[in-house]
Amino acid sequence: MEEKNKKPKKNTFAVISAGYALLLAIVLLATSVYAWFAVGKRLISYAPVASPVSLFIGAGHREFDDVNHQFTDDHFEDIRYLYFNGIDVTADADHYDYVFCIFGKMVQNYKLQLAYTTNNQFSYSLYHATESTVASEGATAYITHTDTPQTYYYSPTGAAIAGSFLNDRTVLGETLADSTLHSDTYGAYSNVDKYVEPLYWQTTNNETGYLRGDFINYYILRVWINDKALNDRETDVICISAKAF
Amino acid sequence: MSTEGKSMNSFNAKQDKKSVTGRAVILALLFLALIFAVLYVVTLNSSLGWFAQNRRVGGRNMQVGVESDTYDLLVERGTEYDTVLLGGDDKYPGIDTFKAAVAALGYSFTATSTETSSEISFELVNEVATRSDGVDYYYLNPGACGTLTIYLKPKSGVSDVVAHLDISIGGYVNEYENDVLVLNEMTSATALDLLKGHILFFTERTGASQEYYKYNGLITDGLLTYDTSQHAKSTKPGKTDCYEITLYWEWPVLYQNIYDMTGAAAFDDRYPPELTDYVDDNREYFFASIRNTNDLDVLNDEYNDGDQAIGENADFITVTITPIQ
Repeated sequence: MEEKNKKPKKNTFAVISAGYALLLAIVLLATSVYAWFAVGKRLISYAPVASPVSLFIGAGHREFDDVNHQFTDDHFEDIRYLYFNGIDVTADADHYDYVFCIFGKMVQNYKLQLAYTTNNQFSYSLYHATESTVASEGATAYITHTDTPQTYYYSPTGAAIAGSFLNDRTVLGETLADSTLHSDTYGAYSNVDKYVEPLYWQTTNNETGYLRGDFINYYILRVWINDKALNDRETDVICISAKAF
Repeated sequence: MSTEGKSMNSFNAKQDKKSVTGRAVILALLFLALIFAVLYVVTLNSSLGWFAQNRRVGGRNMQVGVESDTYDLLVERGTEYDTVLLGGDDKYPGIDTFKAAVAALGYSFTATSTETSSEISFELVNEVATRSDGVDYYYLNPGACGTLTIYLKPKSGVSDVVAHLDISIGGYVNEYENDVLVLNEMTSATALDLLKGHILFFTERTGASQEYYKYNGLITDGLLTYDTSQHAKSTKPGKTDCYEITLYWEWPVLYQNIYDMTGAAAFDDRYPPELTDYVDDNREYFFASIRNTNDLDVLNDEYNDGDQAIGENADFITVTITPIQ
């Protein structure tokens, strides 16, 4: 009888010691969880911060993630890479295309303005452009100024962007600037050749940027040769400007 | 023994084993209860470091802590500005990444009370919208203002508590790392300092609209002390057991505004007089680089550069509220 009773006693001890081990495990677990809970009672209130508005004019191509509206690289092609080289009025071409871009951040709308002198009697039109890595008929090539130069091709889409002159006049078939904006350009200085009085042209409709992040829009500046037939080394100045709204 | 043994013998051995095992289980449970009781006291003591609001001063006897955690904080979720737009676009680019980073720290975006979740995140209420294409965007930018409302609920059996809340401002920024955009916690010490001066928190605000707001109770050291005995409970339905704590924040557009509108003698008393001292004592919170001057033109420029530095170094800001002793 006594022998019979011994076995359950051993079992009791075993159960209690097992229980102890279990308790220790629970104690450890409970302590760590509770400690985390005690120091963890916090609140966070958050808000998205507006980035400072930025609007830049560059030459071709900038690395851009158009899903997330983010530039994926710091590098951009500086506007000084916009060369008006290769214009030959004696060649067959009636126009030459050059690519530039407007990029920035947190700008919903902007307008583009061209201001140019009229020595050559060229005319200019702007087109929205699409970018491709593949050459196509009529596309303008642009080679990046990176360590590993890449070539991108830009094609105009749709009609020329609508716009209007602020100060144009036609004199004997030539498009020249009138005197209305003379003082804005030259102040009181009056000894200015008629071809050096700049024409101001502005887009009629707003161009669209992107309020909630980065954006980049490519443009083709088309230079029309018109009737000019001689490479007489006349020079012109053309300014491209953009203003955010 | 032998008679007992014999009477027990009429039971089978299994029954005998069972009753012993049963006793062991009861013993174990008792142990468990005891250990938990000890554990409870131990952890309560350790958590006192954080939530010691049951220690009262002012003639009353110190309460011996059985409940250490004397209050809960709650948040009422209002309008969510950052819901996804039609077409699946994030309303605020990168907000998902930001929220994931905050969630990884343990903050819940759905809980409304620290009773149920230890760390809660919620949107700062911004009263100034930027409207674009028919959609309101609530970006934080110079000129923005709004509120931050939390509710303090004393635990049952606790009448009054003095809560000390640490209010610290930080943020996250998207940065290029090897041509990959990565969301990092703000580390620019300059920008973090500038946040403390450009986004001001007050405990009081009067006036019908932004133009007429007058602020009082500038929070200067990131610490808000809230003594419930000095306030009445909320009368809002369902919150009558809570104290409503509203902070008012503003990002002044120009330093000239602070200069012209601080103190009773000023052109306007939009801001309380203590703001002048706050500016003088913490010039690095307000001005980007040149600080040792009283030339107002320079200070205006430096404040403006400060706005720029914040914008460049923060894509999201966070206001962290931590109960401290």
